[in-house]
Amino acid sequence: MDSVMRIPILRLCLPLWVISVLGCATSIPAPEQNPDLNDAASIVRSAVPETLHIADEPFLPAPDINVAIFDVGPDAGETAAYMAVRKLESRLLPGLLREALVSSAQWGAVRVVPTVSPLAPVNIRATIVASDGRDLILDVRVSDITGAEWLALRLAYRETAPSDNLSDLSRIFHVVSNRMRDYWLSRTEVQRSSVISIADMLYARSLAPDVFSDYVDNTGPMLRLKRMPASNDPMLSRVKRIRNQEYLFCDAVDEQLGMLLERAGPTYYLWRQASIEQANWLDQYESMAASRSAGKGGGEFSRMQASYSAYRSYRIQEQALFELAEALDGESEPVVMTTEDAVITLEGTLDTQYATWRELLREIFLLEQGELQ
Amino acid sequence: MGFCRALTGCSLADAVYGSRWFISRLVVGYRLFLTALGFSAGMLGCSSSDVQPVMSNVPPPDFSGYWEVDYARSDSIQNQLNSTFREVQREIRRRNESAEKGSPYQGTRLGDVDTLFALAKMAELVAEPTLLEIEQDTQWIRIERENSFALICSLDVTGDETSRLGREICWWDGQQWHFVIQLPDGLNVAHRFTRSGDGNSLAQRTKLSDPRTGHDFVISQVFGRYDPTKRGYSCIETLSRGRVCTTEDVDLE
Repeated sequence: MDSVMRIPILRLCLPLWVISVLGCATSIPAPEQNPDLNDAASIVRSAVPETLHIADEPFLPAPDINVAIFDVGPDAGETAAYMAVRKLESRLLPGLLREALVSSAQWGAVRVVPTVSPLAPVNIRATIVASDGRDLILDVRVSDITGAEWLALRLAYRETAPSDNLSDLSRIFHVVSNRMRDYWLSRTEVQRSSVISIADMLYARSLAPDVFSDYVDNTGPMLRLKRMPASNDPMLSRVKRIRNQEYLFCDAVDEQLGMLLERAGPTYYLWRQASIEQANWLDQYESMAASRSAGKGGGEFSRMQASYSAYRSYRIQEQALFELAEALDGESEPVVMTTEDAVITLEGTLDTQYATWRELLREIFLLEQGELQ
Repeated sequence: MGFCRALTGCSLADAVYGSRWFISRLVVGYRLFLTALGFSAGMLGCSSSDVQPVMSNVPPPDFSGYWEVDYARSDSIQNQLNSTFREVQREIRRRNESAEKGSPYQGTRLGDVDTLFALAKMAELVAEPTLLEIEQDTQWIRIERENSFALICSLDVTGDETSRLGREICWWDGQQWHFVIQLPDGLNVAHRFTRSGDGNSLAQRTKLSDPRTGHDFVISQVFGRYDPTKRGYSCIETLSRGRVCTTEDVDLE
């Protein structure tokens, strides 16, 4: 942040920076609190993204983190073409958030998953409130498996100049990683271990409720670990094996999303660039128009041409992105999963594939359990 | 009328200069007055949108296919400009006559003549696409225009998309497709598409208006169907001679 103070646009950025710093100090919620996204302290308006805290080595125990595919917001049912772009963003942006978390080198495995599940101790959910290529507003909530809400932030980001590549956009998620770190460090070592153990037990309970229902106390507002099975418990070993299979699915999804970033990223990036340039041009145009009397001067054609050309260029870019986004939206690649004795092809939307795979894993687990009995 | 002929080939500065010279000969002493008068009237808010966007229940005919402009049946910008200019001349003459008689004149507003010429030049830009590819189904129409953005409209509801760079409204009125683009500086571009009864011709009427001038600039283009796979010639890339094009063989069967 100190380096930010030295940049020439200090006057512009200082208020934003102050809000951001105040936010850092005040918005980390206690576990039992539910942070209000409308609370000013939870809003991060970021023109210059924070510097990412990078750990020399992960804090142990380091929790795994699941980043759910972003919610497209209240207009999800809309059929308008822009929703295709929004849906594309909902799958591209989680990858950038993961990039920021992985770069911080302080967490366990970070995976992008179709939906929140008890697979990992920490889950990140986000909703795209607004996105027009220049302005991006996201509501981000981080919670752990015990029900504790780590933080709730509204990220309001405006890109002032087109960046060199799409990965630069992951910098807006530095603030999420930094605050998660602050929260995690504020927990005692026992609390941290407990979160990870509860996640293990809840996953086991989702497969075998009868066997694993007594390890976690869920009578209070927060889940609490009562006890743990023996480390050599055979049932627990099988749960781990099933869990590894679910990780495999997530890795396959991850790979798909990585490919999506490769295919759609450049076009999305061009659309953002065009949007930023045109929005900046419009800002300049509006300020010029405000400072002169309308219609004065001899540049009538230049005025009209600039206005029409900007609109035409914007629409061409937008339509190219819509087409790509719609093509990608309708295209849900089958995931081929290999188990020990079978190859399973999952089809449909990612959500459906994930639900099918989880159900298959549960059936496999029950079959194996039956054999034991 | 040299500047009119030059309008399609010369720079804007030349065209504007030519127009100013011509007008100055005709309306010595009146130009400032008319400009101020027109501008004032424009500021009072003269709307050029004369059609209400109401979606019709009548199903549209099939517009789909490939269309190319038929120059023989289309307006030329130069002719339209000449025509508009003659109208301006007549208007000025009527005003002169009224002024000489000392009676107040209640004719159409002239507005800023520079803006009118700018509209004409803009019409060239807006009506530039000579090839259209139209896709249509029971719910949507998409008019893909060469080197420009596509005009897309739903049959269910009146389309209305607004951004900071402009607003686009579209609808089917039972006979024509309307696409209206309103830009933030006041320029209004309205396209109407009509298909002939036999389905072989498509008419596009483009109207440009601006609150700073009392005259709209209208240009009509007629398109005929074409088969993009049969252009009368074919080209191949060769290693030694680069791209080589030959006329296609006439199919005698």
